[in-house]
Amino acid sequence: MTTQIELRPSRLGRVALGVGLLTLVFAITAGAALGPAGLPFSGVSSELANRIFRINLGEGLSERQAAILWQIRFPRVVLGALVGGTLALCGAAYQGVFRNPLADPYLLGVASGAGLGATLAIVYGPDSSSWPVGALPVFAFAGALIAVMAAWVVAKGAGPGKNTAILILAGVAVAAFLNAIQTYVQQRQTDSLRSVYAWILGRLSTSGWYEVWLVLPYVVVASVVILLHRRLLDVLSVGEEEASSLGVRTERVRATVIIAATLGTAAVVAVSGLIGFVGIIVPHAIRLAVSTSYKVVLPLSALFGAAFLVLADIAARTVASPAELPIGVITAFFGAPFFVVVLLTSRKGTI
Amino acid sequence: MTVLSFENVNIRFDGFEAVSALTASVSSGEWLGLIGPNGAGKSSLLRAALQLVSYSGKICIDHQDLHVLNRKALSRIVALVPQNPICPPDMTVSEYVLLGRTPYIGYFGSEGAKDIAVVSEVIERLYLHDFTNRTLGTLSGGERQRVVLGRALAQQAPVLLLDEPTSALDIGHQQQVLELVEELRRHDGLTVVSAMHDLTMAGQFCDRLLLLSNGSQIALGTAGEVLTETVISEHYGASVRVIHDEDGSVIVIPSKAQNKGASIVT
Repeated sequence: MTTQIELRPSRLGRVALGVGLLTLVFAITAGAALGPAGLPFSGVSSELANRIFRINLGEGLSERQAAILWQIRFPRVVLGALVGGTLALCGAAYQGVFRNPLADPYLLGVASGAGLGATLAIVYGPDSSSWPVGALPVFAFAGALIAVMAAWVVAKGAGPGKNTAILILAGVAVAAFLNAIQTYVQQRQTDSLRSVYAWILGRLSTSGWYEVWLVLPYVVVASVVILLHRRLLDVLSVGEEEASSLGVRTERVRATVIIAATLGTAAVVAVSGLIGFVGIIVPHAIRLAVSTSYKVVLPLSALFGAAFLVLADIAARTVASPAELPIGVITAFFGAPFFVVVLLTSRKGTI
Repeated sequence: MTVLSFENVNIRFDGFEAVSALTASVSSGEWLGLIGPNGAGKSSLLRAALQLVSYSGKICIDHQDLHVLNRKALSRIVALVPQNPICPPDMTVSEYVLLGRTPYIGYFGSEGAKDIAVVSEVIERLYLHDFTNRTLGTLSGGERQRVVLGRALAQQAPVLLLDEPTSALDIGHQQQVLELVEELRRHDGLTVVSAMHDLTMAGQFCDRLLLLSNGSQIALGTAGEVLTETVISEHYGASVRVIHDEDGSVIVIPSKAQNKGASIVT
């Protein structure tokens, strides 16, 4: 008799998947219902069920309430889910390719590049009213990509691309340099300091579905590419050389995943600013609580990252209402203690 | 027939010659032991076969130049048990052994029934069935070495390279692992090349020994031919006694240097 090994996701993984889906549904419904003009929870649920699943749950919302839901609340909630899911997924992917628990989506200079781009757009920005897309996201997106490309070029120049540490160091150098320029520009124009600072702390504000459509193609492509590499990221966990000896072209895998994660991160950063913490805390919480296999970590990171950011955005909108807190403050304020709890109660190791 | 041959192989690192002009061949089903002091070039040679370091000359299996094969094809014919394998502590034994099936799975593919069958069989043969759901971090050194061997076997490659497979193990586990390799070799007709430090065990398990020193081939032959007191003292800088047992095995015993000229060879 031979032992049949078990390959299906563990029961824990399936439970976590279910919990994640329920949390996301709850977060989306709550995010749509809560706000300055309170919408009835039941009405929102039935309206969503009606419009999305074509299930008639009876009376939904009044016409005005439905307009608030579909034109204001829901786009913001969906954007939050896309941004949170992408940041968490890309963070997990970066941790996988660099085999470094401290890697986050901003590791290679995305944050400083986008920050500089956004600052330039705010301070010296051209009049973009006739552009199909606002100047801010375009500048931030371009800045993020240029920064990562610069880090990549520096690392390539430093020698054979065998060593991921060189790429990380190049990213550190590029980030420091761009940060210096960004700070200089920001200090020169103190009248725009507040809006630059607000962008840096991250915020989810929407004008209808515009931002959602802007990021959606990048988010979809990045997510699909990263999720397709889930098995190969597990192989990479035994290191560059052993993965090579198992037949993996590690350079190609790494480059593909980094490009996908950078595109996804740059796109969401361009519309949401620098929301920290999600890309590190969510994947690690899943590693600690469920599994370290990327087959589990990647999909669950996307799911829980989405739910986490939607919930954080509810807090950002309601805690100091009518004022709005920067969402980056909320993610760290609630995320850090939560992470400590996971750290203390979990029996598993990290990464 | 699987013949592994090295033809005039030179390996250089930044101007330093790790292996020079090495020519040797290992016949099908043979177990060749690479011996030599630290830094002699044993690991470099094994890594060159896997195209992990660049070299000049040719390394062939059945006259197929390994350098022109792509990674996937290469990993189907040569499997490596590294000296210090990276064992992710939270990975389970079956997940880890399954990594050995990577050469047979498409880029975006996932493991199929065949892969699971192969892994199940490997787990059975290496007596790992009680461990399948244990994580690598909870295994002892000997158990972990068996699991790493299992991953290499799952590659179903006819040539198995072992880089000091027993260096971290106690004497009992050293024997167990080597006996396991011996059994697999007999059963599957694997061609084995292993870098080894324990000269007595190398002599007992390997058909032939290749002594490397400073990257050069010093001797190639049976244990009786290679393991002599002069050769060992010259290249290892060690003071030893070599005893030829009546069953034909060669026993190398370190003897305390009496300061009679035995000195550190640099």
